[in-house]
Amino acid sequence: MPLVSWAAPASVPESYLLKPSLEYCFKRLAFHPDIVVGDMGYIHQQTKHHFRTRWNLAIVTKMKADMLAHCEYSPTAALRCPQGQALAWTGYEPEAQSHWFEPVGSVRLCPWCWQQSSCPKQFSYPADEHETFFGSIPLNTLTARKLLYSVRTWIEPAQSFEKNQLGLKRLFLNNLSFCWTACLLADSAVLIRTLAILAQPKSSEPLADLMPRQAHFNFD
Amino acid sequence: MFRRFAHLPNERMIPDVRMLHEFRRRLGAGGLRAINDHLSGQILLTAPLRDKTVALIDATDLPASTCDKKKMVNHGAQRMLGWELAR
Repeated sequence: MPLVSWAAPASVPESYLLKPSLEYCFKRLAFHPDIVVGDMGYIHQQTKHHFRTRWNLAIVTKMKADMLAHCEYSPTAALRCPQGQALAWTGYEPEAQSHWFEPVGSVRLCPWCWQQSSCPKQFSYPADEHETFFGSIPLNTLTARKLLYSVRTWIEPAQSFEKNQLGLKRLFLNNLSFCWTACLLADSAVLIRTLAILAQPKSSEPLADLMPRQAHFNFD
Repeated sequence: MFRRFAHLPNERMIPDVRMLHEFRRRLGAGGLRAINDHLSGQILLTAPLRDKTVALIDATDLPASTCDKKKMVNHGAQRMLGWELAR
């Protein structure tokens, strides 16, 4: 469902509208999402830091190519301890604003490590060491990958519905004021549709558990 | 748009341009937003939200019909200088 929409000239970057969108959402709906997934790393690190520390809100974006070149961390590689053991993310601690990692894997190097008696077996990284990579959800975790590559793709059919099926693309948008009206009307249509789907009673099928799971072809 | 969305058959019997213009002018973007906020509030109350909610931010392009805004060649009376034969 569309939470907040803006109609702006193409010269306005979407990242500029993140802060007003979330504040609007909080003021008008008394709600804000826990995680916001953006397209690329165009959102300023200060903005991400602001929402992480003040609102405990995760903003997840991919890293830009130039950022990758200068960053010592990679979204495709696991973090490693000083002796080379791969580490898995165990969580983010908002009070300390740090992430915790610990050794993982069946072939662990720890039993043969000469430092194992003094090793804490848990490693902490401050979240603001690299706001885009760490933030609230480190980019090299399964959670971040799912958000960026699975959840992120949902936006395409949502926008396609408004543009193609509701016909937003075909309207004669010759001024910004009219564009605002058309976009908000399209949002209204989507919201009413969502309400209708939610209100629709689910069909009760008493024999649902006994019905075959295999799909059947209907040749009518 | 709404009639097409709702699959109403009489797409031709719609309010005319003047009525739509007045409706738009009276309601404004703020009025439409208020309606949408009300609908969103209802959805948030009834939707089965999980512990963590995820939002996506993205921009999409809409083609602007700006043909009437482009600078046109002046078609008014032009001062034409006649050709003269070289002497």
